[in-house]
Amino acid sequence: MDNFQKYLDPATLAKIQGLDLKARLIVEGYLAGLHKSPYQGLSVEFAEHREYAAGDDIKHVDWKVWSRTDKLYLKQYEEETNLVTYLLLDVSESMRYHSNGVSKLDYARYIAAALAYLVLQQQDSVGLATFDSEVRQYVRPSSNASHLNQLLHLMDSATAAEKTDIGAIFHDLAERFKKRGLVIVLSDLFDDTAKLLSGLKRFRHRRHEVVLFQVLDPAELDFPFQDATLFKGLEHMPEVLAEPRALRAAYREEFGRFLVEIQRGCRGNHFDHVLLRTDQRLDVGLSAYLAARRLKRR
Amino acid sequence: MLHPLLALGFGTPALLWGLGLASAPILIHLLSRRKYREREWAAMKWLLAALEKNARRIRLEQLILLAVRTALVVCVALAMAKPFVQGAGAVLMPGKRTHRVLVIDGSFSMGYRLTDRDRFERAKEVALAILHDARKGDAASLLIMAAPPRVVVGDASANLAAVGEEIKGLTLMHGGADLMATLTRLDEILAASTLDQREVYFLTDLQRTTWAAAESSAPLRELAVRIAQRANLVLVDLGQGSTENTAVVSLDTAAPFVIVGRDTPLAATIENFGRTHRPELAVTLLVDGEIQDRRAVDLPAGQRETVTFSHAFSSAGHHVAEVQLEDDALPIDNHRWLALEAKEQLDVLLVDGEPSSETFGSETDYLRVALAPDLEANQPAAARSPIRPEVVRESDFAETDLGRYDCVILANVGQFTDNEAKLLDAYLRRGGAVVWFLGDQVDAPSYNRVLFRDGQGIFPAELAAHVGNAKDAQGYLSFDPLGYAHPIVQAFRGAEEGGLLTTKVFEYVRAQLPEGSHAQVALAYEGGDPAILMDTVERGRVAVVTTTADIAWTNWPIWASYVPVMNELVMYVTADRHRQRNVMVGESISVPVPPSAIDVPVTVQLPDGRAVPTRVVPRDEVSYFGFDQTQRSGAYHVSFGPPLAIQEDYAVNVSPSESNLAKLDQDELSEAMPGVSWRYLTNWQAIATGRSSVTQNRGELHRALLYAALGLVFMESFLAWKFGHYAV
Repeated sequence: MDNFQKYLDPATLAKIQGLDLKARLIVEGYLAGLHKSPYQGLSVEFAEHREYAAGDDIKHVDWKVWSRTDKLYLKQYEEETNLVTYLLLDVSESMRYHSNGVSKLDYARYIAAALAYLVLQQQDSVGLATFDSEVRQYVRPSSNASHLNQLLHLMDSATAAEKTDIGAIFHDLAERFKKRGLVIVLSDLFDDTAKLLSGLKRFRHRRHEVVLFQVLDPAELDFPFQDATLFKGLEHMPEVLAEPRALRAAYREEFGRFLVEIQRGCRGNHFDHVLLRTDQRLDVGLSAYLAARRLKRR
Repeated sequence: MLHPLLALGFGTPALLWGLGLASAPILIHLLSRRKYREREWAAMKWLLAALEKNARRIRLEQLILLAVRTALVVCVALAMAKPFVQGAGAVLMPGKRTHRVLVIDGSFSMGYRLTDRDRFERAKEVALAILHDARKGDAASLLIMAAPPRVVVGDASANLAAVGEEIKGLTLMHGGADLMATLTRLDEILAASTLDQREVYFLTDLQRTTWAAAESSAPLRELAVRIAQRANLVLVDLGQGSTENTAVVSLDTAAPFVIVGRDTPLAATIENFGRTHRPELAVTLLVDGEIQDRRAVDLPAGQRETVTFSHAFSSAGHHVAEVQLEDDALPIDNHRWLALEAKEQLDVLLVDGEPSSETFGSETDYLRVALAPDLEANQPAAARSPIRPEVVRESDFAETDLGRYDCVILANVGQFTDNEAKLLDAYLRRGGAVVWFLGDQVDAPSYNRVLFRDGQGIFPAELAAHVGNAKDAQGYLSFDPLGYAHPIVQAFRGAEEGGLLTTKVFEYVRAQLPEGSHAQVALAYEGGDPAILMDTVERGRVAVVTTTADIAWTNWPIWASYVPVMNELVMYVTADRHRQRNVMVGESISVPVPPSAIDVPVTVQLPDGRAVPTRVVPRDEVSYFGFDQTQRSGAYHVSFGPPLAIQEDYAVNVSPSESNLAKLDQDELSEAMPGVSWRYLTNWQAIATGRSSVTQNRGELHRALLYAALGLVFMESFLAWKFGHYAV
């Protein structure tokens, strides 16, 4: 159980080859932790066990539990629905940034892969769109188990290069997502806040639930630099020489104002906003997804 | 003294180069701008916004930090150069008012000169520098460490300029220094001081002669401890450097008196106090200012040598002999003077108590011949006895001016009136000499009442009963020379055939010395009774011969020993008169003068040529000429105005102990005065020129600058933290 949980650490996971394995390890690690996890209440819709009784279908027997305890337990699932989850992965250049080895794009990829794996495990449909200044790739939702490989390949092949333009893209995607579902955005949201919210509102208008996973590097939040630094802007931003110690408080204030703006916009539009730091355990993302899915099913 | 309000000076100006370091923070700042890291940055939008809004603030903060860091370096660099502000100490550093007591060593060893100025002049410069450094509100006193000490400014004077003028006017006297007396006066000054704080500055050469007194005197050490409790003590040691010195330590004559035309020996003792051999040291004799003789003396280190000159004075009256050494660093002790009075003859008054017209019938006939055996002989003057006796009858005694005589001999005078006793008393106090011979006419009770007066009078012994009977001539007594100890009988030592022991005395009057008497028995009888008694009455000398001057009671006048003993007796009682005219520096010249000299104008010409008018002071029955301004060595010429119209010379000499320049060092000083805390300084040059301060709290800035630098260190840390230039 503990062996799986270590894969919830992004730095550890980065050493594993293959996004599919990573996705599985994240989910397994997450589920293994549920027995003692504070998140247990959020995901009770499928992960309950009860003792086997004569007449029960043996396909629901949890063989892993049997192998450890020599007792037969059944996995209990709530009624299945056909929930559609749209994963929107930001692959713009700003997502390339990292200060601790795991870039924001990597982290977003792990989350997206794990979510895709989890969704498909639950027999739900999942689709994926990668974007920067425009939609780069789009895979329609499907609940087919083999669909996972296609999604993971797409995520793996995505490279961060261009500037973000979320607002315009979301208008476009809102048109493409025909079936009502859960829209999960994985991005640093480094775009004009007003345009971003305007784009997200399009999903809302189409009665999608929207979850924003805002993936940020800890350095972007803390600005921990000491020495004089020439900051070279990504996404066509200029470069600037600055004394980080003198600017830290002011930068934090500016960046904090940006986050508050995002949070306030999300709250006003009933979007779920989850701030993820790339040095944070990956199960936080899954918990947030499951909470959102549960709300959606009610 | 006028000083600019703010005059900046530096104790160690060479260290001002440190100010160049003030550019270091600026250089570091500029260099740091050229050294930076590069990194990609995604959240540039917010960084740019922060930069745009805070650029001015950051630049201002950087400038403030740069200014603080530069000021810090400037403060430290300036502090190293020890800056001070003249004349504004009180403004910059308000504190307690201080009573500054300046104690300047006035002993003549301070006259030692190594360069153009002597140590005393340097002490004055240091004293002026101390006053110059004093703050407004401070007060000063000025005490000269001499013997006796001289309080120039006793009460704390706030008028420092006036005290400074007093210092400038000081001249070095030629006396020693009395440490005990000086500290006593100092203690009095400090006890009377009402200021908050007291500091005593000793400006001295720390000569052992003066300061080692503390080693042997417990009261002195206790006094020093008490003074140290009253005040902070600072000692500026001006005695650094060479201690080479030669001096004339004595000059005297072996002759009891000086007779015109006869060779008088003058012995000068020269001493080398240094560590260097002085070959061919020139020693010169001057008489009345004119060079008479010159000798070359080879004087090894630490040795003394006596040079004896011989001089025949050509005229009667007062003369001054001077011995000079060639100049060295301490010239004051290279001279020594001797005041002498040359006489044509020695006038002796013989008062005859039993005159007779017969040859050798009078009481004084034998004596007169014994004192001047050549009177009838027609011998050359140089070979004749210098003694000139003159005989008067007892009845004429009261009318005689005793002042004309060097000695008065009273032979078998029956009794004395009170008036005659007073005349004799006054004569003795002026330095006269009186000799009594007894005899059958002597009224012992009268002598005892009028002359002896229970030990208070001029007669040295109480007369008792007669011993023996001359009329019977049944028996006689011989003399006991008492080991020939007394000078008047010394010549008979080893010459028993000289007749002293075979002298026969048939009768004498027993003389009983009172208890505590200082009288000497020069010659006694078998059995111990005194034959010749010697005593002093103030400056005068008295002698009593308890038998007769003629052959009534003894065969002595016709015996061979009579002539030499009588001559020796007269010379002894009249000898060394010149000593009254030779005193040490600081001692007063006090000479009895005839009663007629009262209200006579007197002028004293000092060695430096200045003339000081003075007067004769009447005291008891005798008038005195007194003069106490003998602070300089040399010849003092005294002129009594009419009707006396007398010219006299006196000599004032320095104490030889001051010539030894050996000094205490700091450790020895601490050992000599345990429990006394000194601030011991030797950098008098820096103090005198204002480059260093003795007063600890004049407007010195280095301490304040270091505090400021410390404050700036804290301020820099706080500002850097506040401005976010340090990691939180």
